[in-house]
Amino acid sequence: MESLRETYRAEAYELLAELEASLLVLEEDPGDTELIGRVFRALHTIKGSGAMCGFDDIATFTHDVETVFDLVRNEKLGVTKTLVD
Amino acid sequence: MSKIIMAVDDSASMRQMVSFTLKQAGYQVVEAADGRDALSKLDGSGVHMILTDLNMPNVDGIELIRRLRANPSCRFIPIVMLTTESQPEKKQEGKTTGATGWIVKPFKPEQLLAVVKKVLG
Repeated sequence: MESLRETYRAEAYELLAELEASLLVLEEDPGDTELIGRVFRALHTIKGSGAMCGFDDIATFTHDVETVFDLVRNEKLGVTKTLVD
Repeated sequence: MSKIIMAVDDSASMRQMVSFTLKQAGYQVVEAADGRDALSKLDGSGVHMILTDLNMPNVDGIELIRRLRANPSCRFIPIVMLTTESQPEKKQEGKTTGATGWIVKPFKPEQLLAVVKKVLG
């Protein structure tokens, strides 16, 4: 279990770095659907794998952010600076 | 001879958890990081069952199921999707595409084993 959590930790850091980089570009180019997909996927993995490893707070928080990004992905919400911040 | 199961997920921690659980129970495991990786590793691997995540880069889970079901040699391999509660429509799409069943994340190791045993008999 400890080794699993260690793998998750490394994975989450990697995904957070990717998330940050993607969001910065997305702020400049809010219509980039591939990028929106990448952001969603990173959030989805942080949430799903976090829940599997027993990190419930991370899963709950990420679930809320993911829900908002799902709206963006389905073009029901636009990317704004407030959202990215 | 033990049965071979392919675990497809872009999350390394998920693969580790699934793989560890199945190996402990005596199964052989082939890991793949996404649908494309899965398709490239499948030929001649003798896989008896596939467990796949849905949201993955390159070839996602739904597309993987579609391609496998279009391939005569993979048409009858049981495919179980690993989904989250936030994806009810994906679950339905997967079923329509030809998935055998699904497990909702987060799941416990014993739940995974119960499904695998039920599917593989």
